[in-house]
Amino acid sequence: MPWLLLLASSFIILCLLAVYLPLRKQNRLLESRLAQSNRDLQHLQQSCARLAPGNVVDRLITGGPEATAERKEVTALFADLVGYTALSEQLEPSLLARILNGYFQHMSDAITANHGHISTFVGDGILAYFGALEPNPWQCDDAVRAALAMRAGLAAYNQELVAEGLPPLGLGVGLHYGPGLAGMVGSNERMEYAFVGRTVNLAARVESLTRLHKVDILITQAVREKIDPEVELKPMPATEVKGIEEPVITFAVLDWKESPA
Amino acid sequence: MNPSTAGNPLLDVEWEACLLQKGHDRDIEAFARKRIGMVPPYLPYLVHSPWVARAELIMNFGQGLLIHLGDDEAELAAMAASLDNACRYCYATFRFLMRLQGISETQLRERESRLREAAGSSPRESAMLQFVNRMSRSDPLVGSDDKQQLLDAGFTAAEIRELAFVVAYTLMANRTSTIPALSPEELEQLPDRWYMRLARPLAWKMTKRYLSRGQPLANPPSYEGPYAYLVKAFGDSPIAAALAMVLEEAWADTLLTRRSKALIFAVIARALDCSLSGEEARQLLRAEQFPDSEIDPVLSHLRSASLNATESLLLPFARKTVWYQPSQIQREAGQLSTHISQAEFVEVVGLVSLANALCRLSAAVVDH
Repeated sequence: MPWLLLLASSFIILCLLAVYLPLRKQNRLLESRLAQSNRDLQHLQQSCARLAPGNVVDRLITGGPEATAERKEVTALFADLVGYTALSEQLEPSLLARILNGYFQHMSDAITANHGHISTFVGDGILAYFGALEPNPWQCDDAVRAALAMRAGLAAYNQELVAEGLPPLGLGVGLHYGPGLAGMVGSNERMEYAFVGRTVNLAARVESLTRLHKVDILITQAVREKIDPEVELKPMPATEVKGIEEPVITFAVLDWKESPA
Repeated sequence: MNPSTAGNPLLDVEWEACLLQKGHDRDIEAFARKRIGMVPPYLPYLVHSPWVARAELIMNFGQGLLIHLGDDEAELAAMAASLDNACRYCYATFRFLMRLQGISETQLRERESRLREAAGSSPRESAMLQFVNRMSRSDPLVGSDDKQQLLDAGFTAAEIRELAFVVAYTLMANRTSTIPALSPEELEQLPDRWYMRLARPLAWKMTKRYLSRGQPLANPPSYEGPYAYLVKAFGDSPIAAALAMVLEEAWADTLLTRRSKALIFAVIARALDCSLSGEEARQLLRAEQFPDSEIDPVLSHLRSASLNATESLLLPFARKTVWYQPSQIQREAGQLSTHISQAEFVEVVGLVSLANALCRLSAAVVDH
């Protein structure tokens, strides 16, 4: 009886479809989740590449944080707001936060536009490196350019603040070039790509000398030896700083005689 | 977003609007048809500087350049380099070619997760993928340890040279597509177009007709121009002839001066800390009567009163092409393109791409 055969085969086909269609739907759902997780992983790897060199990320994945450590020559930039404490006592917290965020944005733009990498914001301070994420034979020039761009950026921001009737901000920047240990450091709960060593400490100490010498940008002898001779400098008296045996020779950065390339 | 296109891991990479207008060059288009059977979509954008357009075709490893390295391995290496460089344009091209060969989206995703983790399906493939990533990043440049790892994994010295060339070519192609922000969207969507699904078997058959394996050259090129040591390193391989042709055409073009070209090569060699390429570039500068006393100050600070206005723009730009995020270099390139002609811009893109490729290749194939 052909109609019975037809009915039976239709039934079988319907049964198969009933099994196949949900499976196919589930398969597509799984594929789309896999695709999404692939893209998320790619996105994460790209985000990591902005925070640490690609090979450091690879070494972190394959060998753990200890495998990421390496010795490097880096230029450290330490910047601090001058008069922040007084400002923080005068202004409302929300207004202070807005001013600080605007300041950080201007400073970040100046640093990243000149091949710098911001390591961390410490209170109102900024720690940035040049030559840490990738080899950079022009790192000292870049760091000085960044410091000059920070000066210009702050001048522009101060105009906005003054126009709003707010007090202008002051800036101190210290630069030092030297060796240190770069890698992923921190605790299990919080880890970051950082540069550790005397170079960073000295950059911070040099920054604190800006108040003593009443200038906004100071560089060490090590930076001076590497930068473009066209940068206009003023030597400062050698000064003793905490934790460093010899008095530290610094130079105030006045200007770049020709506009930097 | 199409469900299968959504598998492409580079879709979220930021990409600026294309910086170039399409052009026409009958000779180059005829050359492309003869060589690969079609005018590839990137070519009209590059014809403003003929040698750049021709270089892309001449150095394409699928057209009779490989004798030892397998096609599948070469293709995988090129795909891995494009993924590492986040080149949406080249990556979409490789994805499209693989879909054309009948590789399913699921298989492709499985392959992509291997590429991302540099974990191949065998120790040989893993060693190859790690070498590709090392050469792509070049921080520092690849050296004898990297080559030894390939030898330990079963690669021969001849295969290593060809692998290094495949990666170098891909790094060049990545830059010539990424820097001018050639639009990848059409290529990314293409495998899922209904007409492409229908035409897939026929399209692959036609493409395959133009793919060929290389044969040793009866007469290796007697090239003595810039970077001749690199040409010589490839001996009787067809790669030697391809490199010689590209270098000869690049140096013969008069849009930018030889001095400017040598300066670009010198800056990139310095950024990559490649002493071999750096010394070659210095010799080229000396040959162009660039004062010897000026070379170090220029390379140390990328500025000097002895540079002309164009060079003062080009040198800081050249260094930025060594390591970059796509959208960042595209914005920088956009600024540069407002100061020079479109033809000059394409030539600069070609030069920085070639210099990046050759510096990395020098470290990989020449013992020094």
